Amino acid sequence: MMARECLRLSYRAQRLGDEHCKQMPLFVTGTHSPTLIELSAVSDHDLDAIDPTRTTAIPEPHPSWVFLNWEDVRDGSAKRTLQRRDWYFATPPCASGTYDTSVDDCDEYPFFGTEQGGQFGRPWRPSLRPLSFSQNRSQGSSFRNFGDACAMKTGSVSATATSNGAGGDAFIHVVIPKESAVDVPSMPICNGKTA
Amino acid sequence: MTVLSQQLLERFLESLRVAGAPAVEYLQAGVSEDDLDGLSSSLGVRLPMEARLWWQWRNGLAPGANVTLVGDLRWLPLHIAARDYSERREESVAMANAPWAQGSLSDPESMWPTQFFPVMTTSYGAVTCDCSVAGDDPTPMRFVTWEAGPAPTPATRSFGEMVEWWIDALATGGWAFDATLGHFTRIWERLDPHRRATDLV
Repeated sequence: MMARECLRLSYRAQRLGDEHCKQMPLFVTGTHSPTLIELSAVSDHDLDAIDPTRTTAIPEPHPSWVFLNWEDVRDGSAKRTLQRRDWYFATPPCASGTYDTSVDDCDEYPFFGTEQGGQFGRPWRPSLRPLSFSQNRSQGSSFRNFGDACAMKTGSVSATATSNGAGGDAFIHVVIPKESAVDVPSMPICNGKTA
Repeated sequence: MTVLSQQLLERFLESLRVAGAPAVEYLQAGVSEDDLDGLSSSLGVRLPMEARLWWQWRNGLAPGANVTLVGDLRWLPLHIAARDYSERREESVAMANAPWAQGSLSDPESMWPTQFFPVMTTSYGAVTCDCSVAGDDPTPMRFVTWEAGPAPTPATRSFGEMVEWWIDALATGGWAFDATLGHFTRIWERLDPHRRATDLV
């Protein structure tokens, strides 16, 4: 199931062959979290942002968003220190006052902790969608877990106040659709990367 | 070091009123000692004196109000804070027991430490107090992000010090109504760079 989805999404991104899925670290967003929180809303959002074949795809999906680069956003990192973490606050559909913040978070895709994420995500601004905070937070924790498990490293070019960094470790984000017949938890697959 | 007090909280509320923060209209009445004791026994965590005072004074914003304190910073009612805490702790334990967890990942305190309790949340993390302090000691405050974990050191030495930062942010216009956006928000360039980097203001 994970191999098939990896190949399918890679193909959409015009990266042919199976070597990517065998050699690069994979961050898998499963059908549920390790605590069995269903992840249908975050997987729907991520796939809508990536996959143009979906009927619910956002107006401009970007298949290349399957391939991402790690960027350090721990406390004290350049991106966290210099850039607004709440950049989305006034941007529809996450504009303040337009969704119920007692049940929803603003979900960003690609993730803030990637060179493709945040206010200066390149080459496009990330997709935003208010959705269940349990799902958003659970995916965030799994993403951190993936970074630790696969020893993901930030690039040699640091973020500035107006640009993201560059050269961070590359990985593939494999999203298991909620329609999948198989239940799969979110997990890291490091494909041998441990340092 | 400033410790949280009723007087400081009233100063904070007055500062919010003067700045025209919409949150003031949606604050809920504080919880009782019994509510706090019930929470402590059900979660197995003892809230520090400053956090108890915080929720006894006002119990966050009414659910469904669609209003934040400022920016994406959400003023939590106690029962929502407790639910957040439980979810994060369950996840921390589950991650530590996952088949791929090795080294620090196998520590159930790694993702979300038992002693960190959320006071405010955002879409990217939470402002937490530290329940490990003894007796009536002030509680250090720090930010925990979902994607990067807890800040290694506290941002302030007490809850009261953080509220002082908030009052300063209101006085200097770092927290203000942005007429262009039509929202009460963080005016980035007016916030102290050190303080804003902590995510507490």
